[in-house]
Amino acid sequence: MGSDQHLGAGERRGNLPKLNWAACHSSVLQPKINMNTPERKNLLDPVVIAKIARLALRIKSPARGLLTGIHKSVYYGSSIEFSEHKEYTPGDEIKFLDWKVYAKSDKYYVKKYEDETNLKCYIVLDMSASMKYSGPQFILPEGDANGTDKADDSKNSDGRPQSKFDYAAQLAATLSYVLLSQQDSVGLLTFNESISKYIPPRSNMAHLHVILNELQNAKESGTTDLPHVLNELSEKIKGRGLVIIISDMLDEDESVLKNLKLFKSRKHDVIIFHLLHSDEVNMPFDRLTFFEGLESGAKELADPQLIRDEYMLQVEEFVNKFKMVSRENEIDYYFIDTDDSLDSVVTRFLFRRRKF
Amino acid sequence: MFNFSFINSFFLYGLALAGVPVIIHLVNRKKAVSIKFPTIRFIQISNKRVARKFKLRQIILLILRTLAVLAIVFLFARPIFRSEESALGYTNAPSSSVFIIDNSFSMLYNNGDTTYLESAVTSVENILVEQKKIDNATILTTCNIGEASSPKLTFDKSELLTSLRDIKTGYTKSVILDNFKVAVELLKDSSATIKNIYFVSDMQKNSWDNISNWPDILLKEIKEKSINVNFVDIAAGKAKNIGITSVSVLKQSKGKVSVLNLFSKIQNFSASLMKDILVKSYINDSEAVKGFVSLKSNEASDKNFFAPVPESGMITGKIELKDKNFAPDNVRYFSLKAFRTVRTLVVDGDPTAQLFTSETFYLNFGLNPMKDSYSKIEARIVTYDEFKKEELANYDVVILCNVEAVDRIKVLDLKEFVGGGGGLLFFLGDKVDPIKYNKMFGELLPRKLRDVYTEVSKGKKTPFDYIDINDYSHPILTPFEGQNNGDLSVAKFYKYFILQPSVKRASSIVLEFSSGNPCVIEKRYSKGRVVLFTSTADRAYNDLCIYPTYLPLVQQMTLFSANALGKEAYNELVVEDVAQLSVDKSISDVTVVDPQKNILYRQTKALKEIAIVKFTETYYPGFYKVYSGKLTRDELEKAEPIDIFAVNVNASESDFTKIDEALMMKLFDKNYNYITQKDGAEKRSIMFFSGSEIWSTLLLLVIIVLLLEGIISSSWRKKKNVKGAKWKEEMYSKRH
Repeated sequence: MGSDQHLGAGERRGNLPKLNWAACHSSVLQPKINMNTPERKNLLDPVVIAKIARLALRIKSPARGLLTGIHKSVYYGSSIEFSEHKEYTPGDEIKFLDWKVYAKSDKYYVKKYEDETNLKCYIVLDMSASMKYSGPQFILPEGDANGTDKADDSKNSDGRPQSKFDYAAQLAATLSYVLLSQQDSVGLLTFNESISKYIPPRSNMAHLHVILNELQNAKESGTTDLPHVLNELSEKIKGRGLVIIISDMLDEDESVLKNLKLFKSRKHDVIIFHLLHSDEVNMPFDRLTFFEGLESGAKELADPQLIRDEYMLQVEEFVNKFKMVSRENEIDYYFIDTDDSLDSVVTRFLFRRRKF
Repeated sequence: MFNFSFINSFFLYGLALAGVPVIIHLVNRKKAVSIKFPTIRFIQISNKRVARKFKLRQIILLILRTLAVLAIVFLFARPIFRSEESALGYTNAPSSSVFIIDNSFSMLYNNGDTTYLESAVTSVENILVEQKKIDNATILTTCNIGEASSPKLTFDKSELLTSLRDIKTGYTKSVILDNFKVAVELLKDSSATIKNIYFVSDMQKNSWDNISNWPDILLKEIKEKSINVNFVDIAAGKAKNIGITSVSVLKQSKGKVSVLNLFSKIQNFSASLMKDILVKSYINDSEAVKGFVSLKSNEASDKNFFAPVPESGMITGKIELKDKNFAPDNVRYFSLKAFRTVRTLVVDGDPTAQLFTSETFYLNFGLNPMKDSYSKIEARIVTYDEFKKEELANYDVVILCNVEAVDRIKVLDLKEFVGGGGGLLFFLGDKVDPIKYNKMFGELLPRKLRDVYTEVSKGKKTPFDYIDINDYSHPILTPFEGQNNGDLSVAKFYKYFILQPSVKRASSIVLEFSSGNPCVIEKRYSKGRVVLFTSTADRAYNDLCIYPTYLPLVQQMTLFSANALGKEAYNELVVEDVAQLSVDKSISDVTVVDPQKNILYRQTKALKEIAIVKFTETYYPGFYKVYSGKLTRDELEKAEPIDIFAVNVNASESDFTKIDEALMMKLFDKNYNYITQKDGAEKRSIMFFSGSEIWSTLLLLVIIVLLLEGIISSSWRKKKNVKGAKWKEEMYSKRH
C-alpha cells in the first residue's frame, strides 16, 4: 500500500477548497488503517459535508446532556427561555422566586426556564456478511466469457465497487461529523450476531477520529441478530439518547420489530436507516442464476426475469412491514438504497429533522 | 385413413434436431451464472410462488420450439399427403415403366466424381430396386448404332439391370422422339395401372430441336393413356465446358516453305472466364505446336497453328486442349495426303537456239509458272543426248516432247521406270513418226498412233477442231469442273495424231476433240502411268499453250502420271457424315477399321478412272483406316492403309444449355413431372401423381408456431426493461 492510501478524508485538501474544517482537522481525522481489512477512503465526503454544513440534527424528545448544546434538555436551567411557574417548595432556589407574582397573588412562585443540553447519540451499524454486497460478482460457467452484467455502477473513489457497508459507513461517518460539530456526543456500535465493537459516546471532535478508524477497519462477517444487539445496547445506554440504526434488517422480521418496540418504549429517539442495495430492490439480472446467500451460504437457482415481479413484491412487503411498525412506534424510518446519493439522503434526513 | 410420404426423405434425418431445444434448455441450465447475494429469502419465496407458472410456460415453449423444428424438417422433406386408399392403390398397383436413357456423349460430362451417364444409371438402378415383382419395365437409349431392336417390357429385374449397366455413350445424334413413340406404343398395350416414362438425361437443349413439332397424336395418346412422363434431370448446376468446335487443315506455302495451316475454332460454353487453356497440335503422333487461349463467357475464338509438313504420305493429326470436365470435345482429328515435289524430266525433242521457239518453252512455264514460288512440280529440261545420260530413278515423271527416237536401252529404262511406278507423258509433234513410235515404245503407248490429222485450206493451217468435254469424272479434269473453272474448248487445234482403235480397253480417254478423236489418253502400265497428248506441247499444232487452261491441264497430267493427284486440304467430317473415298479403279473391296477397332468390309463402285466407296458408318470420332482388299484381323496388322480419314464429334453436344422447362410443361401438361435430383426418383414420381404436397400447410404451421413462441417468450422478456421498483418511487414521493 502506498502512503496515499493511508490518507484520511481530511488530508484531501485539494478536494476541499472552501472547507476550513477539513484543513483544521486533517491530522485528527486521519484514521489508522488495518492492513487486513478493505480500505475505505472518503468516509467523509467533502461534497456531502459542504451540503449539510448549515443543517443540524435535532432530536424529538428532550435530552439529558451535561454540556450545553442545541437540544432541549429534560433539566430546567438558567437559560433565557421561560418555561412555566411552579409553587415554591422548600429547597427551591430563592433566586428564581417571581416577586411580581408574589406581589399580585401573595403566593410564592418560582420561575422555571428550559435548559439546552447536548445529546448522546448511538450509531448502531450492521456489519454482517449481507452488508458486504456491492453488486453482482458473477462466477461464470466454464467457457463462458460473455458475462455482461457488471457491477460498475457505484464504485468507491478508489475504483472498488461500493458495498452496502461502505455506504453505511459513509452515512455513519457523516452523521457522526454532524453530531460532533454541534457539540453532541457520538458513540458507535458495530454488530453482526452480537455487538462487535462499542465506542462510547464522546463529544470532542477528536472522537471522530476514533469512529472513523473503527469504520475504516470494520470487516463485514457473520449473520445479523439485531434483537440480541438491541437488548445488549439497552443495557449499555444510561438515560435517553438518540439511537441511529443503519442496517439491511435481513433478520427475523417479527423478532426485530418486537425488540424495536421494546427499545422505543425506553424513551429513546430511534432512527432507522433501512439500507438495501439497488440490486436487492430491483433484481436487475437477466440470466439464469444460482443465488448464494452471503450469510447463510444456501443456494437457489432462479430465472431473475421470471421471478422479478414476485421478488419485488416480497421486498416491498418486507420494507412496508418496517415502515408500518416504525410509524406506529414513532420510530423515524428511512428506506435507502445504495443508488441514492449520500448527500441527498443526509440532506433530506437533516432537513426533515429540523422541524423537531 | 391418411398416409404421408416424403419426396426428400433424406431430410428426415433432421428429425434428430427436435432434441435441440431440450439440449439448449439443459445447456442453459448448466450455463447458469452464480452470484453471491445478500439474502436468498425473497428469491426462495418468489421461486416457490412462480414455479408452477414458470414450469408450465417452459413446457409450452419447449413444445412449441420442438414443434417448430419438426415442422421445418418436414417442410424440407416435402411430405406428400394422400388418402390411404389412393396411396395403397397407387403403390400396390402394377406399373409399367419405360426408361429412356440419354446416352449421347454429352453424358460423359464429369460432374466431380461421376459422369452424367453414371449418375443416370445409378438413378435408374434406384428406381428399379424400388419396383415390385408385378412391375415391368424396359430400357431404351437415345443414341443407337444400327437398327434398333424391338424392345419389350420385362419383369426380369436382373436382365434390366444388366442391360442398364451395359449402356455406353454414343456419338450419334440423340433420337428422342422415336424413343417416345416406342415407349408410348409399349405402354399403350400394357395392362398395368400405372404407366411411366422416365427420361433420364442432362436435359441438353440441343437434343430437343424439334420439340415444337412433336406429333399431336403422340401427345394425345400420352394424355389419354395417363402416361406419367418423368424427366429426371441428372445434371445438377451449370456445366462448365470449353471445346474445339471445328478444325480445318490446309497445306500452304510460306515463301519457299510448305506449311500446314491448322485452323481451329474454340468456344467457351461456360458462364465464366476460361483463362490460359493450353491448346496443342499433334502431327503424326508427335507434338507440333502449342499455345494458350483465354475466352470470356460464351465466347468463341479462332486458333491458328502453322506446323511443318511431313515429307510425303498420309498425315494424321489432332488439335487438343486441356479441360477436365468434358473430354470428347477437347480433341479434334484431321487427316490429309501430303505429296512431295514431283521431279519431272522434260526431254525437248526439238531444241532451238531461240528459247520461245523451243518445243518445251510453254511447257516449262506451264509446269512451274514462277520459278521462285512454290510449285508441286520441279521440271528439268534436257535434250535427247542429255536424256540418255540421266538416271531415271531420280525422277517421278518423264515427259517426252516431240522426241524423234529413243534408243532401245533407254526404252527399256523407261519401261522399267514406268513399271516401277513412274510416270511417262508424251507430247507429239512433227518429229514423231507413228510407225516408228509404235514399234519403239510398243506397250508403253496407251494406244498405237495411226496418222497425223490436219485440214489444209489454201495452203494455210486452218483450225478445224477443239476440245469438247462431256465428262469431268477423270481426276485430271477435276479442276475444270464447273462453269467458271476454265474452258478448254477455246483452244484451236490445227493438227493432231489419230490413234488406232484398241480392243483391250487398257487405256482411258481423258479428253476428246469435238470430232471424237482422243486428245488426251492415259493407261496404267504395271505400277506406273502413261499419258499421251495427241498434239504438240507448243504452238506448232495448236494454240492451247497461250490460254490459261494450259497450265492446270499440263500440271494435272504430270501429277496424274506421277500418281500425285489428291486434295491437300482436310474438310471436316463429323459423326454420321458420309465419307466418300476415292480409290484406285483396280480395287474392288476395301476394309475399313474404325476407331473402336471394328472391321467393316465395303465394295467399291468403279467409275471411269477411279473407284469410290461411300462409308456411312462414321459412328465414332477418331481415325478410320482404309485398306485395299478384304483383310482379316491378322492381315490388317501387316498391311498398310491406302487411306486414312478423320471423323470428329458433333460440336452441338458441347453446349450444355438446358431446355426450357416451361416448354416441356406446356407439352405434357398434367402428365409432366420434372425431377432434379437423382435419389428416390421413383418415390417422388409415384407421390407426385398420387398425392398432393402439403408444404404450404406446413409453412403456415411453422409461422404460427414461431409466432406463438415469440409472443409467449417475449411476454416475460418485456419485464427485463423494468428500471426499478415502483413502490420505492412512491415511498420517496410521499416522504417529500
